[in-house]
Amino acid sequence: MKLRSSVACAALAVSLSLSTEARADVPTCASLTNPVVVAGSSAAKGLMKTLSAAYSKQGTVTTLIYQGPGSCAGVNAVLSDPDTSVACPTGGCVKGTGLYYTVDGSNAVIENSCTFDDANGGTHVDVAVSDVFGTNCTDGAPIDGFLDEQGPAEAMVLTVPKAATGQQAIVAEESYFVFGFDDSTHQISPWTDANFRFRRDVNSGTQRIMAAAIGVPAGKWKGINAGANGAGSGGVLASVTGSSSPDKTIGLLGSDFYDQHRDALTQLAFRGFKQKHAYYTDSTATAFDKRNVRDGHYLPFGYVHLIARDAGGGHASAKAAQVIANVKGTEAVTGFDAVDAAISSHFVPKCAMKVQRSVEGGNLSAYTDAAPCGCYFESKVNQGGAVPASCHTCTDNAGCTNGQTCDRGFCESH
Amino acid sequence: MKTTHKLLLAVALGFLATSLPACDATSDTPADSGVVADAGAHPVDGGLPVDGGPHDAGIPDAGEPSCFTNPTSHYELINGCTDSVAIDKTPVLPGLIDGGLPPLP
Repeated sequence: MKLRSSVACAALAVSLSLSTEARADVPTCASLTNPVVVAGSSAAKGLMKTLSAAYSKQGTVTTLIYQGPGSCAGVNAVLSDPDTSVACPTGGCVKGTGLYYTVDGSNAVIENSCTFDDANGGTHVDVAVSDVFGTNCTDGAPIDGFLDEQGPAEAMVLTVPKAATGQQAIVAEESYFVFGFDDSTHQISPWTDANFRFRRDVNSGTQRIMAAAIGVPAGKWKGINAGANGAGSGGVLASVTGSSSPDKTIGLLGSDFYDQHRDALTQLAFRGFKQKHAYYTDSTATAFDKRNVRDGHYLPFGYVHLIARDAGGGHASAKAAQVIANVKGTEAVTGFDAVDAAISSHFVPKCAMKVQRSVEGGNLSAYTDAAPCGCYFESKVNQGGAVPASCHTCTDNAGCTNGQTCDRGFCESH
Repeated sequence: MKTTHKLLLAVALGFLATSLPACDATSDTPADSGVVADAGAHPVDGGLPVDGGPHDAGIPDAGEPSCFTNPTSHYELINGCTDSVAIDKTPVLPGLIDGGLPPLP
């Protein structure tokens, strides 16, 4: 008995020692080199990971720390906290752990954790990253004193399991009923059971963008919040693919996430209000060219928004300004190309867009980027690097005609 | 438009929709005028009011092109001519009020 209790005590001591040591290995975020905290959209994780790693690889003076509690959670953490020189106010700041990325000797990107200053109400957020306009999170109230800048575009899709049969498309009016009602009077076949409609929550940019497209406010959606408890898009995926009634099942996802799980899901083509036909995000069900997002045929799309405090003549924080400029591509950083980073995150860089909007779900207008990259974008996303016949390679402007310029190796129209 | 006229138009369009071979109310089928569901990219050539039924979904006016070649406005952009696959659907929408969507609960 004595020996067994001694062994048990020793084991407990070792265990406690190890756990203490493990906790000590997780630094506080404040202790990292010149930390800049970015919080919000879970869809932006890939983009932030790439930028954080690029900063690390430079041995740079900035450590980008990211947390993905949801678009409006990040936006509200900034909007509620206009003055970072004082203690964290209620609703402002972030708590728990953040992620930052480093690069090892073999060039592999390593994910690391750090802890926020929970004991003092949390840590101030420098930049909110959101799938929606900041004013979408405030239900239209202006966000004076803050700057809202747009990064790449992203689409949201309604999906069904691969096992589902018969449905290829959904129209906005059907979506209005599917996600706006759960009574017996307003049923849309085959999505007649709200227990098989998988959505996100009111803070989700994914849901807010689709909400604007179908006319159902994000806080009024029926169905199951499959992204609860941090599950996010993964929770929706699991619910859709694991459904016991595939034909009745429908789920909301970002196209970036859908593109990585096409083996298990089918995207429903979407027809918006006043449209004549339904379209996929891409030119066909199997393409990756996002052609319909880019030219306005696919309506449920928004942008990656970067929201930070305004000092009146620019950003209040130089660190925030740096992150935003790098993401937008207006300021270079070694190891991070804004266009390539957007593409690898399954977003559409703005230079590949031909339409724009200034309000969530608002009317579209034509858009031409100062340095268009539609052909380059398709060369990166299409199988085998295929590009449309209208895309011609070049080495300089002399190789282009009809007023086109040579951008990223292709003659692009302005 | 008066309610009576809306109802008459809706009935007429509903009859037209059900009489078209591709207009199955519960399935997503290719329209019968060049819009192909999933057999590669084909030009959209719908000259017929493919979205018949009592709802407010952009039923084209007489004389309006089936698609817009040089779109500038929102309506023209979302209905611009394209080689992308387009899918037509004639949904059955319950509980409409005067042909329009009912308010949310």
